Amino acid sequence: MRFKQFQKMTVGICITVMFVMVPVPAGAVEVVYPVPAYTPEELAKVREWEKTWAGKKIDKTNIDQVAEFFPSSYVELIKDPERWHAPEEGNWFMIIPYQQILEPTGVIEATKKYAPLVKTDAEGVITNYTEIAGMPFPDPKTGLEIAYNMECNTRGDTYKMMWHAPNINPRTKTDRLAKQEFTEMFFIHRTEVDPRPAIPKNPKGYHKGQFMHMYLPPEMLNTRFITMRHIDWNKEDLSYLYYAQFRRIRRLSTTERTNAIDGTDQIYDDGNMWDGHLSRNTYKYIGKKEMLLSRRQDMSKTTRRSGQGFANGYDYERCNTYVVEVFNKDPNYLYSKRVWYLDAETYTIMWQEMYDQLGRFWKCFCNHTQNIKTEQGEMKNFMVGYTMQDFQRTHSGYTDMTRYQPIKIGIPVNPNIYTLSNLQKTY
Amino acid sequence: MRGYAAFAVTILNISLLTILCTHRHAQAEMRYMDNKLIINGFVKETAYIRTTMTSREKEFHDTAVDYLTTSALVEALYTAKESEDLTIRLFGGLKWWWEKSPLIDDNLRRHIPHRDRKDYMHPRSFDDDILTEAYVDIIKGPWQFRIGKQIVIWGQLDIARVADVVNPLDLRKGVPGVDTWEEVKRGIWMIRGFYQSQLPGNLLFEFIFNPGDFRQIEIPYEGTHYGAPYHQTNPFQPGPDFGIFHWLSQKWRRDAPTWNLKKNYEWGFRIRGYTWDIDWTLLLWNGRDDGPVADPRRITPFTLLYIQAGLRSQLRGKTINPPDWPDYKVWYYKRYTTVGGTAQTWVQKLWSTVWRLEWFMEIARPLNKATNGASDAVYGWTKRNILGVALQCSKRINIPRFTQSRFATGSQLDISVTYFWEKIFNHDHDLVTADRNHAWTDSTTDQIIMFVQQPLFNQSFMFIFTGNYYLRVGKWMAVPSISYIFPGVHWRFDLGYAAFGGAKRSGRYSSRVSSTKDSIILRLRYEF
Repeated sequence: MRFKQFQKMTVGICITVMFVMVPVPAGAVEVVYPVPAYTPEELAKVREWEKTWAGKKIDKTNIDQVAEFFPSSYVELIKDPERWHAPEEGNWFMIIPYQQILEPTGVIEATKKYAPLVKTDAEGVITNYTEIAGMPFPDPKTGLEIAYNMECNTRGDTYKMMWHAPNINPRTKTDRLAKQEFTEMFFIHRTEVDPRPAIPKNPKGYHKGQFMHMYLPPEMLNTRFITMRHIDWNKEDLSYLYYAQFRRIRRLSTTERTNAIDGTDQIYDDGNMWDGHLSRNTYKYIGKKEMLLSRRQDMSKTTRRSGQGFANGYDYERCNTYVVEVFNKDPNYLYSKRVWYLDAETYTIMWQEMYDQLGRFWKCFCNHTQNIKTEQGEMKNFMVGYTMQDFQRTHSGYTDMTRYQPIKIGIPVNPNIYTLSNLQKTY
Repeated sequence: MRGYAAFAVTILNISLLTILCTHRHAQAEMRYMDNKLIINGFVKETAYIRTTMTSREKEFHDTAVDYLTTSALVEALYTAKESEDLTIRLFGGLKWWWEKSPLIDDNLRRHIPHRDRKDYMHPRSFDDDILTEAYVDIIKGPWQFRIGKQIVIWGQLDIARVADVVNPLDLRKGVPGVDTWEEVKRGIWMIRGFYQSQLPGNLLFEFIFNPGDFRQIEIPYEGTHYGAPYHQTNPFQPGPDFGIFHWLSQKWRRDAPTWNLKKNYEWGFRIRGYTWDIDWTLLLWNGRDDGPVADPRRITPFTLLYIQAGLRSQLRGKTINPPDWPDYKVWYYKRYTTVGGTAQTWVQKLWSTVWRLEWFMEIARPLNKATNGASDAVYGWTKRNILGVALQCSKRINIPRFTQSRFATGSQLDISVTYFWEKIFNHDHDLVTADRNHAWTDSTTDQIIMFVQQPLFNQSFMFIFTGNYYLRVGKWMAVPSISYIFPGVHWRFDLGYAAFGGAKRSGRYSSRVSSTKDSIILRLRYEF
């Protein structure tokens, strides 16, 4: 009897040891993705709040009641319509109900496939950066992990869009227009367009290529610009400008990242809210915060008159965000601090606050996104507009990326567009 | 009366443009036929108001406005076919101008030779003056062909045309750096091809063949803003209806060859590559010189025809012009070969500067020989090899306190400095090289060119400074200007000042034309 008990106990211990000791293959760990911004309990509270607010117009009379979900600078902007040259009705926006946003299948599959394979060094830097795709950290714990998720969102791998971007001076009530066509293609981290996850023939080690064709202002008509971002963080971008008026191809310096772009409030680092190597910053994860986000925005519903710093008619929905404070490693950098508010479902920076070198609040940018059908027939939440405010100089920027033509995502892009011969084609 | 009319038309032009254009939808270019046809261009009104004028020059001017031009450029692009493997586009450009200063200043008008005046005030021929470009562009795979009249720009520097050898300049109404290439370059009918290879360095091959369309450089007319002052070129009072400069330059134009496949063909080849982080080009060009050399046997008798007429005018106290243009040729446009190249790179470790190098070697460049290099004492012609090298350093500068001020609003100062050096090999003192800004006894010349640009007030204003200084001959030019870009997309206003100096120190036979041309520049531009 005792022997039998001993036998059973021994077998039991062995089986337990086997379960405990035998290594489980990494791929077998179930990656939970996509992750909704809210737990069911949190969502129930949001729905309760929406019973009061969804469909309501928010203006200076009631902005205080939703102020906890809005950057304080924009609360003041709504309350002070004269300063931002709003029309008689003032500045206003609408509240719409929250809806979960799902990334396309390619992102979900790539995240499930590659996230468990991500290797990092002691400082959290991904060491197999070129071998992965999708969100490397579906459940991020640090600021750097969140930043990586932001960077690995390839916006559909390729896209082409034309933007209308007035440079707005509310004090003089004037606009100066810019119109540019922009084509971007990622060479790595591809999730939607073959070849995936990377273009095999990439001897120069490009991360992504950007091609811009300018139509406005007129003195820049047909001027074209390419920038190639390297995978290697130690290699600066490769940039060329074909200046149509003088018909010359000029190599450009790419280290003046803090130079204002064409008189706007945006510096070169501010493209897509952050357009530089992640290694240039340190990241501090503050926590989650609910914000009003404009992430299902029909830009044609917005209205704006010349000189108006903030357009009316945006749709904002309540959504959780990751808040990350970003500090540039260069002590003389233009901004002493950036604060990112990233959509908890797409890792797009939806709000960004910047502070000057003296630590004073300076600028606040807002990203507007929309679900757009890709060439592959899926829906991708993609930027459709941009609002920029310089609160120190009372100056604004507005970008509508859908005004002239629909945004095309996941289209085939010939890498030859990033060559010098393409820069000087007849247009 | 004519003056009032010109002013009235100028004001009317501006008013009409304002009324017609400010209410249009903000779009710089016009698109038709489902975007297949795109039209753009500009209309501008430009005035130069002289602030310095010698007492001799004042005798030939009633006003200080010696340049008042309405000009326009319209360009059209038609996409006939656009697919992944074949693109066919048609491009055409037209320009037009109306110079009104002779209408508001009778004195000025009288002292511009009548033949030149007609050409100066309006375009003279469709092909020469109105049609800037007209070509078909065919892109198939790695191949691209442009066939038709074209303006080709080789080189990367701002103002200096070191490797830019294909098209001749037209300096009658403008200068490079101030006016667009379409206004200051003469288009040539040619075939231009490109091949984008997949070879290491992304080698891009380019060839050009001009099947005999020769056009010479156009120089400013006598008595006009950019041209030789009347009193410097009219030694006889009374004398012929025109100055000796007109007599020589008209013959220069008349002696220029026209279409001739056998004699005037030109060809060129260029390779563009990228090696060790340097973008480089190498070029080879063979063609006729844009400018002529004088036939030493004929230049003297030809000049004497004018002097005889001048002396007869003096003796008889009335205007007597030289006889009609002689049949013999005085000026010859000789063939020579240029090899050259460019290189540009960005050096992060050297204060993050962009460096550009351009060079040329003119092989057997024709030059006149004259006693002590004086162009009025030509006795022969010869050939020399000439080497030119330009090095440019460009940098964007963040100026503490200023760049982030309310003036600069975050825009950095863009500055570039170019050093250009040229050497004539086997030099002797009799070579006529004044037009190349060489001192009489010096085989080399060099100059420093500076370009500074500072956007202001969120780029609604733009300050630009352009200047150069010839180190050997002491000549200099400085053009500070400020542009205001009106709200919207169409209007732009420029206010500048062009100052010139050092001509008196510039040696015996160097050009002094611009020494008293200091002017205020006013320009209103409507772009579409």
